[in-house]
Parts: sequence; C-alpha cells; structure tokens
Amino acid sequence: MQKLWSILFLGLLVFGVWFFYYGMTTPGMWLPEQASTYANDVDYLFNVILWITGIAFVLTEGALVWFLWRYHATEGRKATYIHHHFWAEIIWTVVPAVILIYIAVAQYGTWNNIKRNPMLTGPEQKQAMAQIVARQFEWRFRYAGLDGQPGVAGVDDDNNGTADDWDEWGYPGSDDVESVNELHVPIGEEMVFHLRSFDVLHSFFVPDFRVKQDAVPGLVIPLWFQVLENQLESGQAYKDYDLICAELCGWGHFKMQGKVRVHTQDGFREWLREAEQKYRDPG
Amino acid sequence: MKVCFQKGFLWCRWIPVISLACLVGCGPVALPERYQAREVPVTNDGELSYQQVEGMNEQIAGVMEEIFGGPGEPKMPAGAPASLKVSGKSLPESASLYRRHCVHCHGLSGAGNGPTAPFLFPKPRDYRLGLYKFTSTTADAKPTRQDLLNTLRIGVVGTSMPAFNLLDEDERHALVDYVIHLSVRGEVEYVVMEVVADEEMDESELREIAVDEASSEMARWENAGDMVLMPETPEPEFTEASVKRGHELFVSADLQCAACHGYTGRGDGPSAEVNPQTGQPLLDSWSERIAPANLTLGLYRGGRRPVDLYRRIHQGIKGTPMPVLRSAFRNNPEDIWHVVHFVQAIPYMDLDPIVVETTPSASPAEGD
Repeated sequence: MQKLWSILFLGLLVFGVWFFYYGMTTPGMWLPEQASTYANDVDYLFNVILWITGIAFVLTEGALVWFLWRYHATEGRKATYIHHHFWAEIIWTVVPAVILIYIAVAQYGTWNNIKRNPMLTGPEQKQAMAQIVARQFEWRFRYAGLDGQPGVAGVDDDNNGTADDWDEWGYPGSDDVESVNELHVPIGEEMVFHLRSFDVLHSFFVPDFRVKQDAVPGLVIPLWFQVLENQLESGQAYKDYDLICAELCGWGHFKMQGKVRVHTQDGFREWLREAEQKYRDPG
Repeated sequence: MKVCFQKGFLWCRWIPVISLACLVGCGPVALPERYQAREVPVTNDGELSYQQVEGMNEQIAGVMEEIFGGPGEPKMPAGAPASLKVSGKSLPESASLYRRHCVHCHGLSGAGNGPTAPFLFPKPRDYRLGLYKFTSTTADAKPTRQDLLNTLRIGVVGTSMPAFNLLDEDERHALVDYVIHLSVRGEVEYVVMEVVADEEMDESELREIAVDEASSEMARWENAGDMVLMPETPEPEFTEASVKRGHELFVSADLQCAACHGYTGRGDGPSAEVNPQTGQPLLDSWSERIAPANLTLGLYRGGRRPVDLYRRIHQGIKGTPMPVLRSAFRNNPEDIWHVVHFVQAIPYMDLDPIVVETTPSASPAEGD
C-alpha cells in the first residue's frame, strides 16, 4: 500500500513525458510555423529551456520515485534525521546556478535583437510604418501612408523644436490610413511599429511571428518584425495570420482578436492606395 | 490518503461527492419561448421610469408571434421585401449567429439590455425604436443596409461595439437581416401596445393594425437607399484658411456648435449638460443621459471619413440632441466642409478656451 505513492508518481513521470512527446509530434499542437526572421531564434531558446527542464524533471522525478519505493514507511522502522550534507548542498546550488547563467548568456543576443534593436530607438531608429493603438476590445492601426511619413511633414505640434512623428499620426490632410483589427504589412521588409494603449494593459501577440509586446497606457513602445519571403507562394497575393491580445484587459479580452495580412510589396502599396481612396470617396 | 481514514477527517470523503452534486444544473440554457414583456416609459410627477404593464404581454403575444415568430423560429412578416433579407442564411440561422455574437450586449429582443449592458456606457443600441444614429441617410429615413454593414465591419470607435471584420461577409449580412427583423418587430410591438393600452380590441383587428404597421415600416427600410445624402458641393482642399473659416462658424451664434461642444471642443459647453430652454438634462431618444461629443479625441463614432462628418453636421444624429443644420448653410453650402475641416483639426490644435473671433491659437500647416 505504501508503495502506491511511488507508483502514482511514476505514472506522473511517464504521463508527463508522453504528453510532451504527443504534443511535439501531433500537427497543430506544437509551435506554429516560423513566419518571421527571428522566429527561429526564439524557438531555439524555447527548445533549449524545454530540454534542460525536461531532463531535470526526469532525473528529479525519477529520484523521487526511487526514494518513495526504496524508503517507504514500514512498521517498526524509524526515520533517520539527516542534516547538513556539504557536497549535496554544493552540487544542488552550483549546478542550477551554472544552468541559469548559461540560459542568461544564451538568450542575450536574441533578446537584444528583438527588444533593443538599434532600429527601434536612438540615433539609428527607423521611421515607424504604423502606429498600433490597443483599445478595449479592438486593435486600431494608423499607417504612414504612401508618402512613408506619418502626418504632414514639418509639423511641430507639441512645440518642442522637432517635427516628431508619433503624435502627428492621422493628421488631417495627410495620406495616413486607418484600419481596425486588420494590420496590413508588406513581406520581406524590416518594419517598426509604435505600440500604444488607449486605456488599459494589452499585449500585441502574433504567434506565427513570435512577436509579443505589452501595450502600456502612457507609453509608446517600438517593436519590429520582418516576415520571411517564403511565406507567400508565387502568385499568392496575401496571407493572413492571427493577432491576439495576450494581457487580460477586461470582459472582452477573449474577443480581442485581429488579423495580420501580409501582402507582396506591390500589393501592400496597392492596398494603401485603395484605403486612401475609400477614405476620400463620398459614396 | 491515509488521512481520510483518521478520526476527525472522516468528513473529507464527502468532498468529491458534494462537488459532483454541485454540477447538477450545469448545462446548456434553454431558449425562452417568447420574448420578455416590454416596459413602457411612464412619467409620474416629472419622474421618468420604465414599468411593465400587467397582462400586456399576454394580450399581444398571439398577434406578435403569428407575424414575427418567436426567438427560436423568427420570421419576417408576409410580403417582406427581398432587400430586407439578403444573406444566404435563413432567419433562424441568423438568429443563432446573433445569439453567439450580439445577444450578451444587445439582448434577446434587441432591447439593448443583455447581461453585459449594465457595465457599458454608452449603452448598446435598442433596436426597437427603429432609430439608428450613424447613417448616410436623411434625418427621417431608416439606415441603408450598407450603413448597418459598416457599423458591423468597423465597429463604433469610442464605444464597446467591436469591429466584426473577422466574420465573413455573408455572416455580417445575416446579422443585419436579423437586426432589421428585431427592429421592425420592436416598432410594431410598440404600436400594438399603444393601441391595446387605449382600448379593448379583438385579435383580428389587432392583427390588421400590426400587419399594416409592419408593411409601412418595411417599406421605409426598403426605400432607405433612395434617401442617402450626398454632399451638395465637392470637398475643398484642406488648408489653414479652411480651418480658420470652420472655427469662425463653429463659435458663431448661428450654428451654436460651441454651446454644446464647448469653445475648446471638449463637449463642455454651457448647454452640454442641461438644455437651457427646458432645464432638463440632455437625454437621447432612448431616455439615457447623453453628452456632446468630445471633439478633441479624434474618435468619430459614425465614421472618420470627411463625408461621414459632413453627414453628421448636415443631417444631425438621429435620436440625439445633435440638430439638423442643413438650413443654416443654405446660403453657403460649402461652409459645411470648412466646419468639417475644423473638426478634423481640433485634436491637433491647442484651442484657447476664451472665445476668439477669427484666429485659433495654433494652426496646422497647409495640407498637401
């Protein structure tokens, strides 16, 4: 009877390993396809951590199973009180520390590339292609338009001596385009977006691109991604990807879905042109 | 596990049993056979309240169900024009879509009283008055199908109405079909209720009245497409001069825009909360408090295109205190566009709260 616990934990160990095996080998249950240039880097880190923790799980769980079996409670046998085992304590401090330092070092380059890329802020920053405003419970996008310039050039609206671009988005008379819940982008281009929130915390998450960034009210947060050229087959005009909110934002959080439509380069300009025309059309 | 056999812990064994027992009653909710009894506005000593009239539902239920069906099997009245039901889905299928996406705000009968509605401001639309705020048609006309489709596709920015552009087009048509059904039903129901409240009537007479009312309402829906307002003059270029002219008009005594919207456009004008003539707070046709739009936000609920803003000014907003201003512009119809340009520029300007004659304190560069 006392060995029952050992069997149960063995079952947990077997089930845990099987469950991951099943998930990794069944189509649609594991990671989505890698559609952006840094998706592979992110997945690599994911797998590194998964294998490290997986092996640690099997080893520690296996040890637990063995100890439960071998040292189960028996009538007439008292437990031994052990305190202070120097080498055990050294090993179980140093080994995890080394592993964590390894992970910290391994992820540094990828994190820098995604979150601290020079095209986001600083002297080499790139003109943002669109401003993303997260709102309960929708995604609003304002694009810089065909002239590549948000608003109208040369306007210094907040009187700070420079023509900033982020507060001029959608300036009347400009060719800026707005859309709701549909982010249109061209393929194969490094694109910067400025993420804002209208009200509460949201998070801009496109699983296929491995891009996820919290939208914090009061902040303008730049993010970037580039869609891989292989995503569109020859002759295909566009492809849609899911965009979801990844930070609980209220009763409609589950509904806060959008789509990212990746066009060819020409298709994107065509879409911008059509959207601008629809705006002006008095029909 | 050993603990469950020990004295003092024997009660633990009941935990799984009780948990399972609590699951009784969890299951799909049955659709009600008929709609909830409608409330009517009643004014007692100047106090407006909504009350249910005893027995009203029973009197009219037979007639309403015959013409419009129940929540589970809705139908359009006999002789309904084809333009009111365009999608490939049947009305019961549309109703099912509606219950999936819309009912939690708009309510089963389209009364704007779903379970989410108490948390929302502004309230979800009550279709039963047949009034829709953001349309391309004139002040006394129904919206076109395209207006309702636009509202579904783009949502109403600044409110809780989301954009349903991720549904496919036929699904949106299906939802519009059903909304029109609920709307016509709601208007007919109100007329029938008024009749029954006044005098006794037998069912066949009541049915006749209801059928007549339904036909006339459906005709209005069908003809809405003929009542679309197109701008009287083409839009002039967006220039600083245009914005300046718009500002003059905005603060002028003829238009009185600033009286509600305020001199800075924040919706804090002297008439914003209380109508100065009646002394009553501003209410919309659904008897909810309503405030003039804060134009500094750049959020335009009825659409942000220049022509949308033009229509709001020219034809007002149905069901709200926003007036029809067409006649104020009869001598200079192009002036409407100048006001539109000024409204578009307000979010980017730093308006002086003191009334100014002609010069805004900061103005945008020439549009290009």
